[in-house]
Amino acid sequence: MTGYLLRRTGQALVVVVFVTMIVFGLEHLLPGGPARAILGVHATPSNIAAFNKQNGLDRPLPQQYWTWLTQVLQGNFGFSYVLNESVRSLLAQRLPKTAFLAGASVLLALLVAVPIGLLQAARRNRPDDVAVTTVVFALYSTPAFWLALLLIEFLAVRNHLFPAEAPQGNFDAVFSDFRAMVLPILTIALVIIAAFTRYIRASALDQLTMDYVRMARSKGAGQTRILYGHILRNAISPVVTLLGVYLPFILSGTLIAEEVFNYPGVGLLFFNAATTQDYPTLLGVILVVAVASVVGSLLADIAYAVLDPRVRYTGGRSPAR
Amino acid sequence: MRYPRPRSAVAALVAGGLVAGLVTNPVAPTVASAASSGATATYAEGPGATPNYILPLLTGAYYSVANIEQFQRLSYRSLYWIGEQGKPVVNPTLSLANLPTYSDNNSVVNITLRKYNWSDGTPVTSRDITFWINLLEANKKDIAFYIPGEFPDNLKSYKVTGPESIQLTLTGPVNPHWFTYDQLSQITPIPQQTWDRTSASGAIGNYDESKAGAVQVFNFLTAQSKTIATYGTNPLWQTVDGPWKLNQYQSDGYVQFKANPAYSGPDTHAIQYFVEEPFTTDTAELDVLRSGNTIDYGYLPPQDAAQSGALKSEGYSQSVWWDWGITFFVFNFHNPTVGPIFAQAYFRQAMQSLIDEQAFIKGPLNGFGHTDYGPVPSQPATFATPYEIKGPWPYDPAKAVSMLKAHGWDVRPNGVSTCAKPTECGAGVKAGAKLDFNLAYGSGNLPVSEEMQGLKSDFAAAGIDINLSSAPFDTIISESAPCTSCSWEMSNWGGGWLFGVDPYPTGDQIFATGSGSNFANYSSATADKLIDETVHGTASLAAYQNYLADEIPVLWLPQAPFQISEISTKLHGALPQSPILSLTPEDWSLSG
Repeated sequence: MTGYLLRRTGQALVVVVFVTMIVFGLEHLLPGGPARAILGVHATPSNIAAFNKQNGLDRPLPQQYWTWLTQVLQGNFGFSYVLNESVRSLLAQRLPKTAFLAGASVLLALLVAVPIGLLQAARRNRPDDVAVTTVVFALYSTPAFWLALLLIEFLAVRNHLFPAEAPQGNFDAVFSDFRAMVLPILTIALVIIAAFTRYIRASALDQLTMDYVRMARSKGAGQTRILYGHILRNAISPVVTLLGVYLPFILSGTLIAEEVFNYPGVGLLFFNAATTQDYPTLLGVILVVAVASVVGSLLADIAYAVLDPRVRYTGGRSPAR
Repeated sequence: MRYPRPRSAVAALVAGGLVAGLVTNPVAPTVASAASSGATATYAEGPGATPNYILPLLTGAYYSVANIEQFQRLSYRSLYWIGEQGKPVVNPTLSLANLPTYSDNNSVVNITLRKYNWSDGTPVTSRDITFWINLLEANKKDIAFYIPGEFPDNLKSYKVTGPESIQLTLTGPVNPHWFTYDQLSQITPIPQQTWDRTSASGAIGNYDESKAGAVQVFNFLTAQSKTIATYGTNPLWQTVDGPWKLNQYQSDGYVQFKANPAYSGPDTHAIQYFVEEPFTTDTAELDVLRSGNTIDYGYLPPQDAAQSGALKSEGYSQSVWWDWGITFFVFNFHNPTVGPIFAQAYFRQAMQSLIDEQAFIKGPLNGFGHTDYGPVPSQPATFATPYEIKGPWPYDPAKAVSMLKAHGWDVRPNGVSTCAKPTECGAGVKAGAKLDFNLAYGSGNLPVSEEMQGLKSDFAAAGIDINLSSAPFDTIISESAPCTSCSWEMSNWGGGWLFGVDPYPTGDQIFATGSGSNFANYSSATADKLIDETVHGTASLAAYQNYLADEIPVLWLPQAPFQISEISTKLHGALPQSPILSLTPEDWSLSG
């Protein structure tokens, strides 16, 4: 296991470095460069030259990348010349908000998807299973932004049940005005519920055909006990793996929710950085997301091993018999 | 099989509780709770219009309306406040100083401060003015509003003539109107008694009186201004002479001001908190307006003009906010191939005659716009002449065609016209030269996109073929910068020029030969002379604007408003809106 973890960590580091190299190269291929874009129509040529020098943009690209990388290793993610703030500080302010949004959405999704998925498996092909499947497919095929707009239209604009925007101000407002978080969380959760439900249903159906289930039934175990006492742990394993793989998807969902609900998290930070040629911020966010994605994937593998003792990582060899 | 009711019911309750349990209370404002006591007015900041620089001596990247007019000026007042009753004129009531007096052939200026105090109780003095001048002088190349040749380059010396008075001796005569509006209105006294230091723990001194010291002080203040997370808590920014003190600031642009109890200017301060709330998209802002009255002062995105009625029923009244600007797009006179064609005044006038501004206002601008035919803003018509307002080259396609024919062009409507008689086409235009141009415009702006499509069609009527391409604003603005020889042909970044910090619209920055923002690379000795007279002579803007309205150095387009404001009917005192785009919430009040 230790060897496996070391190997995976090494691979993850290589992936992260490659991602940053690609993004760094691509963003500097954008025409025009950031100086005129940032300084605007008032800027004189000397203003532009000063800006480029001040931000190291007048140096060769490999040199710029190396400087950035060495600074990152020292904990300095650079300075956003667009937002007038260090990238580290920006991430520190925005990450908790996105983490909260994503975390609450996933939690809600699991709380709903697990029982529904098990229920569907237990009532396979019956009218309630078909009805839920129809709803789930509808949700799964609905773009998140459209879902968000529908929620706003019906729950905020027409019925004034929830605010149309997320809480404003500092992070504490997320708790002091939690009602304003409901629609953003719902938007992301509904889409994730749709996906998770399908996986849990399929996984539970597999489990229901297993010998241990038959054995449990023959010993008189009820349906509830079978579903939650025997099947749940095995059926949920794929979802745990899915969580790690889904992290980028969830983050993209938060980007949409953040934009529609005016919630200043990391997703929105990334989007704005991309549209304003804010290179340091763009790279900072990508680095964090890349690290989160590979770490998420790694953690999912570990969790999978914990949940399913049959899984053993043996350095690429077949599991021991 | 039995339905797994018990446990799923618990899960459903837990999950549902997250949602349903929260539906019991009516919708409440989402502003931070710090503003819970005292009346709070909330203003919506549009996408990308969030403040992020507090030091009034700001560097280029932060030179914006959001930073200057809608953030800094709330706490730090300039010597001369521009904007009175919706007009771009000096407002004596809100100015820190009495109107200046000019002498010695307009080369000496005397300024006397009115009685104002800093929030720490000390008076605003001429020392606070010299502090600002010294920092500007020593660091001018880093400061956004510095223009070579203008203040402080045109300042020979200054003399403090008393605690509240100062005399400026200039390098030569100036136009008093220009100097007051475009130079003195930028001077913002800053608290020397608390800011003249080189570190946070360092002692207060007179460091600014040496150049090296002024650089150190500026670097310190700039560094402090670059730690925006501390804006709300840094004691530096708590010494203000304006009506508002920063109470909370978030890096996303969320700003909460608290009334400055020691403000010594005229105000009622019926509002104790003023919140500027950032919005990520126009749609998000509109949704909030439609879903309840949590924003007191918002805007209706022009593309959503149809929602006007819905907002009225939510308790908003509409008011168009005109900014003090002009809209145009540019030729590149320095393009080696098509530049000679653009250099012909008759050709530019013919092109202007093909632009149907009224149709653009009715169509792409959804009725929210006004015509603009010259270099001086016509709304409000404070400085515009009737000649410019009417426009010497209004929409007249037949005239455009006849002008081109009269100058040797073989005009082929809906085709490509060519120069048939080069001696008549103009200097540098070769036989067979085609009226076929590339025009790049800023993407992501629907009215601009529609206007450009309309222009292509209009120009085709005279056989002028326009090849449209769109790119992000950043790309357009970067690729169409002033140059000596470059390949771009025509460019429209989707705006023009906003006379905000320099409200006297002389054109010295955009139409004078070699000026930093002369994107068209336009050059005319006559225009240079007329511009110079508005800056250093005593001429009014009439001759200059009439000449350029006729000359068409750029193609004029109708002006869209800064925004279509939606103001809660409970909010009073917000009208008329300043064309300089400043905000004075100290004059507002809330009812109900």
